[in-house]
Amino acid sequence: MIISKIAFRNIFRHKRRSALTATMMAGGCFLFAIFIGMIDGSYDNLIEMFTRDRTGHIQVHSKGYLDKPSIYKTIDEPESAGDTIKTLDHVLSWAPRVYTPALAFAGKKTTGIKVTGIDPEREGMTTRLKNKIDRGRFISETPRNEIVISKGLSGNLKAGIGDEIAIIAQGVDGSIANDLFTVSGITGKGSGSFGSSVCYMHIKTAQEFLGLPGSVHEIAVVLTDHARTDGTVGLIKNALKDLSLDVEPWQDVESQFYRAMKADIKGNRYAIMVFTIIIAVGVLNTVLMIILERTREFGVMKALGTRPFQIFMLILLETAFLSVFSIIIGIITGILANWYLAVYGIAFSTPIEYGGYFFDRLTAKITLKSLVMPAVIIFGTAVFVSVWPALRAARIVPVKAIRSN
Amino acid sequence: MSEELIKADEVSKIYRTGDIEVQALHALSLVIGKGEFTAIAGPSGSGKTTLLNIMSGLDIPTTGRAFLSGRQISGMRGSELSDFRRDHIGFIFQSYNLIPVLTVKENIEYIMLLQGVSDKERSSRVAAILKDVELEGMESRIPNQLSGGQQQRVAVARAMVTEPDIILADEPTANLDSSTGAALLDMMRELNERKNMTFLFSTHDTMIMERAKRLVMLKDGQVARDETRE
Repeated sequence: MIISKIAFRNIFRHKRRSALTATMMAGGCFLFAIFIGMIDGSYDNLIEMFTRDRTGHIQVHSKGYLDKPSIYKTIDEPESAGDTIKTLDHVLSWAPRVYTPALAFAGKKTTGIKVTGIDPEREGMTTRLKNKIDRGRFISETPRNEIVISKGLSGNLKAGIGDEIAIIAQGVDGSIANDLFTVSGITGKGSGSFGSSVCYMHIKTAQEFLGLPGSVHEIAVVLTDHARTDGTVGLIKNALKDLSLDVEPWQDVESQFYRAMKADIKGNRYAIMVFTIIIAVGVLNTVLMIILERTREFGVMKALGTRPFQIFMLILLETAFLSVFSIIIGIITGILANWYLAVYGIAFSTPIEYGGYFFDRLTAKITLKSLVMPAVIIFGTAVFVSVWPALRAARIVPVKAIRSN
Repeated sequence: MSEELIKADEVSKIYRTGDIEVQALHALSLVIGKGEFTAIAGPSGSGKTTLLNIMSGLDIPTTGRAFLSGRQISGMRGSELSDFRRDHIGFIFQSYNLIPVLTVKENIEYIMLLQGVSDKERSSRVAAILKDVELEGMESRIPNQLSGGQQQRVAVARAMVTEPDIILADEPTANLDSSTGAALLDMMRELNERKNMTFLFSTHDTMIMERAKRLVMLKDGQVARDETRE
């Protein structure tokens, strides 16, 4: 108790030095909190854009479809599966999809495309595809021979709103499926890479075109929060009880994007390491100064009967008290800054592109990690670098220390 | 002679700095009895402080042994030595060496806190010792609010409050003016007589030598003269 009392009061002994050290630690904590908040906020934003634009948070396919897509690998009772999924916690909506590769002709232009059959009503509730229409309109809820194509495809085929495009694909019965479709809309507004081969049509039109009545290739599921993805994958698997279906999180569906994002996050650790080293050197310098200045005092304390371990703890406690005080200041200011960034953000003069998506502002998020991680790093670093000086203080030989000035 | 409290048995101390060796003590033997008020005097470099340091376990003899209360202090290390000093020796230093962030009361009770003495016992002992050293009413002051003499009184109180076997005082009056020093010595002598506490001084100060009941003169690391007076 007396040792902690001395440690606490020693903080106020050299107010200016303590204030400078505390400012450095609080500043580091603040920067960590903002840095982590911005990383979490930016990636959260990116994941949300990515999943809500196209993939959804979870996808259900027939076994092996994701590794080796085939029009024959279908989900045969999508309504039943979708209704089961919808009853689960954290599930916001679901949308069925049909896919097939095809050839598209417009005038003298030909190109390979990927046809996606969608349910306009469910898709509108599940993804933001409907909001991405740049020109024309979205697919009508009544099945017709109309399609929405990406800007890229429109450019390749030189086809605009109202133009007709002939699409040829292979039906499930092996026959050649071909038909004429009118372009009702062109998608690709805002951020998001739609590529040059995207073509959407009504799911019923696609099923009829391919000879797949009632079957789909994919069910995309959107949750209330992407952080619930892993847990909900298990819930869906248990609820469907169908071993012929794969239930996969967006991280598996878009594994390349996810790996790139993870690599990017890993790169941020170096920045954190640099911050940590700067803070460690600052704290070490302060603690060494304390040892040097108070050598005589430690010698006297040892002469009076203070155990080496108590001297060791005295130094660690001084650092711990100062770092706790600094962390409180750093975290409070960090929360305020993250809150400001989360609510208002900072607008970029030019939008920044990442993974085909454009960001027009810097945002942040207040997460438990943005509070706990800086606190743990600052406290851990400060205490860790104090161990060596504290051991030196504990090993002071009283007779030499008392002689020193 | 009274009950044996401290014994230095053929104690030698050699300090080495590079190739240079300085022999501070030469096979010195000395016994201090309980209740003595002894001054160790001698010119600079005679080995007074070295002897005091070895007898208190602050320093280790090169050869020979030092005993305190029947235990060989020169063989103790680490926490055992810390605990032994805490429980058996009181120190008074030339520069007072109070803990600057603690109040007078906290400085006096510091050793008792390390010993785990109860609140009630501590308070009662501190109150009594403050009266003895005439510092009543100054409990809440911190050292830099006290004069040199007052600080040394606090140091005396800190050394005595646990009633250790011996109080070792290294030049306790060196930083005090003569009247303050004399008053402090009279107070210590009075406590020695009233409470039969053992005091061992290392000093140049004639005031201490005059008041000492026993005077041990050192020269070149050996006892040159040992006289007892009343």
